[in-house]
Amino acid sequence: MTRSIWDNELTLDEFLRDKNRVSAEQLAGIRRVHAQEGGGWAGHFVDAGAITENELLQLLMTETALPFIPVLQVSVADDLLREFTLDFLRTFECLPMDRIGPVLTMATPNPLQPELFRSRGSSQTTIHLFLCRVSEWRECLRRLQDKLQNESGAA
Amino acid sequence: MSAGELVRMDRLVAYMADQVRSAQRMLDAYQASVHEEARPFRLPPLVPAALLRSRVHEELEQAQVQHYLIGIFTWQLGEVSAREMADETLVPAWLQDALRHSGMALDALGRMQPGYWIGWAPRLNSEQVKSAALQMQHALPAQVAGRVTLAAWCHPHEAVELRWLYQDEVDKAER
Repeated sequence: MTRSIWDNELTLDEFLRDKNRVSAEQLAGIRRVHAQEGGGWAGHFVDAGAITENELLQLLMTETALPFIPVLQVSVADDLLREFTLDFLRTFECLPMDRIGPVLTMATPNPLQPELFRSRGSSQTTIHLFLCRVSEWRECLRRLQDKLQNESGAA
Repeated sequence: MSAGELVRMDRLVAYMADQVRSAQRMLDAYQASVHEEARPFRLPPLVPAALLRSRVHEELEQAQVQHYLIGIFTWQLGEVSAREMADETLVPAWLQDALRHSGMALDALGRMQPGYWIGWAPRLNSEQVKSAALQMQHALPAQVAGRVTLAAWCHPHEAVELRWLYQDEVDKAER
């Protein structure tokens, strides 16, 4: 990722505006919906039809040089998933993938969120980000939600 | 952890809980002030192509087991733009128009094949499904209106079978 993106803590809405991928009017509408409904930026841009999932992924891969991960093909340990609240995963559009020693790997369709590093990054833990598609991340979250609901129903 | 550290953590938790409550109040106030009709059109969540078939199967089965109706819609247009061919996550403009004027929000949308889309919305009765399909048909842009095949079912009232939806694949397999 270019230093300026990290250093300026550019958010996805600002980034897409800078890249002229959304008009000011579109952005205003998306910001209103975001403020009203919460959730993450990437999903809002895709749902508004401002950019397709693949275009967003391609753009972020080019700009950040982060690798892509096919999240649906990765089996995540239950313990790791339970470290995060569903609210956090939904708001910050992320999913923990793996933890090996001091490295925690997270997948996200939107890496332009400093909170992803702040939430778990420390002198003992390094966060490695991978990119994924919005729909694949959503599907993982849907499965997780179903699983948690089934568990609470069974209990 | 030392006593000093515990006191610090205790104060931090109390401080943050207060901040969270205060922020939540502000959010609630904002959300209550925004009218529902101001909500702009949004595309339904896209289902990854690799999972689409199993998701459709799952949705149909769930509706049957849990005894509720589900509206299933398919749209098919023979000509596919080069851009759409290259990007399976691109919802074509004609379909966006149809969805925008359908008068309802789909739960999910997926591309079965290039130019062949499926979407669903649970808890719609036959009348609602028919009415939504009619509105979609009317909303199609003139240049494609006559060439889009729109189908709609209210499952399980009008039982949908997966093999119909994937008829092309069945035909190919049988050949």
